[in-house]
Amino acid sequence: MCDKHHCLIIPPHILEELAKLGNTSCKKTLNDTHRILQKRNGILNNLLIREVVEGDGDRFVYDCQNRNQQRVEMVRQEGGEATDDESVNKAYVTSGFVRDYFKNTFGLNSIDDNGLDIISNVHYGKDYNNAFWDGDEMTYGDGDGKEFKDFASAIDVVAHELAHGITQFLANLEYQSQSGALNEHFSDVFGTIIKQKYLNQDISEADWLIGDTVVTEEFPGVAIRSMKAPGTANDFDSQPDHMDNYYSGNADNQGVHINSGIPNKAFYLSCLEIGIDDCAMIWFETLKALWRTADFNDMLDVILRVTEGLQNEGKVCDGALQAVENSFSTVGLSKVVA
Amino acid sequence: MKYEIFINGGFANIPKQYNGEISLESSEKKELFQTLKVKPEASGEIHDGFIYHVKIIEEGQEIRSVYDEHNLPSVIRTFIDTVLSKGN
Ligand SMILES: [Zn+2]
Repeated sequence: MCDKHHCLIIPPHILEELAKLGNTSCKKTLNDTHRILQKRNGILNNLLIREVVEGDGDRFVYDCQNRNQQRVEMVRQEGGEATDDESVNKAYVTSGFVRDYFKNTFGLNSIDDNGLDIISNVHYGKDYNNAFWDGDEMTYGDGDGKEFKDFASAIDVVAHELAHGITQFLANLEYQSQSGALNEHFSDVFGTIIKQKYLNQDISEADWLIGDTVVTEEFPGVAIRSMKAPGTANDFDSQPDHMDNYYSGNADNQGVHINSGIPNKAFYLSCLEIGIDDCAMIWFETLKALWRTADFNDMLDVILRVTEGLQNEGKVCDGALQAVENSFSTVGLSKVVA
Repeated sequence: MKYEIFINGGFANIPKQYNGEISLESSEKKELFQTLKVKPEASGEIHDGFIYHVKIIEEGQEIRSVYDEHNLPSVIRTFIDTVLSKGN
């Protein structure tokens, strides 16, 4: 129905409708068109300061030397010796662990499934309390030592940021409102899964916290977010765990880090029922099937369709569909019966 | 000169608000006003980046702008750092 040539001349809103009906070719074209436009703008803006290099999924770690500038000095690259800087070594090891998890579990070749270089910037800014993905690479601050510390050393933070890159290439979920909350949700999901793998934990041992190792003793809370109990990780945590408490304000790109608590809780509940590995497969395949403007109801439709398919193929356990449906229903997201 | 700085977003999404008054040399003030008047260039989608809302008020004149990690001018970043270092 829709080959590549047709997709190129079909307007985006029609591509989106076809993507919703499960047309993967249209979905891919829709995602690629937007990403190419973004990339072209980025390249034009950064032509003088940044090279665009094709890679093999190799890791490169740069020291920003506490300046607000990326790629100040390259200090470790794929296969290179460990340095005296623990932040550098941790960023190198953890980004490799994340890359290998996606490769070994889903056959994904680096962030873009095409061997994109994995670039980490550490020691960004002075007392910088943050980590971010900028569309091309990851950047980590040292924290101010009062509330936060070394973001580059935390496996869940690294996996979260790297997963933003993967989402960008698989679904390119728009970073605002519900699609943005789903974008955050997928990063927290894979941050959590990979943290448990890294620590060799099973779900009964896991704390289901995000960012517990980057908060200081003085910080008023135990972590940045909780998958198990959204809204309880710290004194500022306003994540809801049910649609009844959905945030509809404008802050935080219309609540991308806030409303992600709702699907996060559904993920946690699903893991309790069917285990984290089946959930990992279901969520990854769902991410592949989503599109830029997908909202929570689209997520529910797609995840149920994906889960049913995987269950029928024997790739996830019997009962997975019921478990996922129940989990989303518990957080206030239920299928609309026509 | 009065200022209002609101920083939100970020991985942790803990908003920070800084309001107060600060004295600057007239050349610094002029540079700050001129920089704030320039519309920031559009950035790509930054995920988990801070969003910086900056407003200054001087002799009845008010000027404001919003930036992200990639289009925050060094003059504005220095101004924010100055405000933060004063513990305001
Ligand atoms: Zn994020």
